[in-house]
Amino acid sequence: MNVRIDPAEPLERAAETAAAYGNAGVDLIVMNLPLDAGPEVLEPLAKVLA
Amino acid sequence: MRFAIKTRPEHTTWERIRDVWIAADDFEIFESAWNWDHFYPLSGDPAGSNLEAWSMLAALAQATRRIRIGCQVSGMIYRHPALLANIAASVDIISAGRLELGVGAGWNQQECDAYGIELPPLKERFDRFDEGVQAIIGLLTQEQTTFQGQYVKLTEAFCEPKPVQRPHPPIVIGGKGPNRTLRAVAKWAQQWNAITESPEQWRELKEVLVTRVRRGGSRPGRDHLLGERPHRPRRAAGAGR
Repeated sequence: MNVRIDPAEPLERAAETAAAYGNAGVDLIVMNLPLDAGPEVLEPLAKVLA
Repeated sequence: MRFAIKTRPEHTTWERIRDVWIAADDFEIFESAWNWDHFYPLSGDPAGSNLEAWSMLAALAQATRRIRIGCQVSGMIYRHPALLANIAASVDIISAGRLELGVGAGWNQQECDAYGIELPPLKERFDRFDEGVQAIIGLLTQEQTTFQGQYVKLTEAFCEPKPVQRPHPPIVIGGKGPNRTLRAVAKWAQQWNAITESPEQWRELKEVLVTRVRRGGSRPGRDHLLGERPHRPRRAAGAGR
């Protein structure tokens, strides 16, 4: 399942969506990074998903 | 629950994507990284840049060490299945056995019109897809493959060297069509990927899939699709970094 990260929304919103799919039984959540995202997006994303 | 990242290769640069994947390699929470298989951007100006999927995967396989890599998903209409099998085997070797082989039937009318690629009606497209997946599995696993489909014909065909992962890299089939797509997932895939509108829709489709998988008997990846245990392909002896 893919969850698109909207750059206009806080990362927590995408994490909430991911958690909802996880609760439905999805075992692999693919986080679609914002267009032209750089590596700096990964650390905060990893934190909100952990 | 496992996590992955996906970078859209549209309206961006190779250096940008490469740097994200190299950085993701150090975050263990991200099990895999994915791109897509298109030639035009899917958003914004269609004349904008869009990097080609498998060329990137080969380079990203070399640029990373841990993270699994794949394309969500490679359109069967774009490459002959034998070509795709050979590319996949090489990328699995370059990545030391980290490839996830994402495939789908294909859908992009704009690209097909522009390049003169045939985009058959849905039934034929899925018939071709089914034959393509079987041909790819044959080429990745058998010394020689002979396959006489309606659309795909292989005659004592080689695909060497074989991939590192055995019997073959996990096949990820993308899509949410309950009939043809989920039937193909149940028959051949080790992973299913869908973009659904809600968790409820995903759960409904998963129930359809589980029913089909249970009917289908034993094969690699069956337990994973049933949610019972992760699929872990074997690795060829002596392979890997």
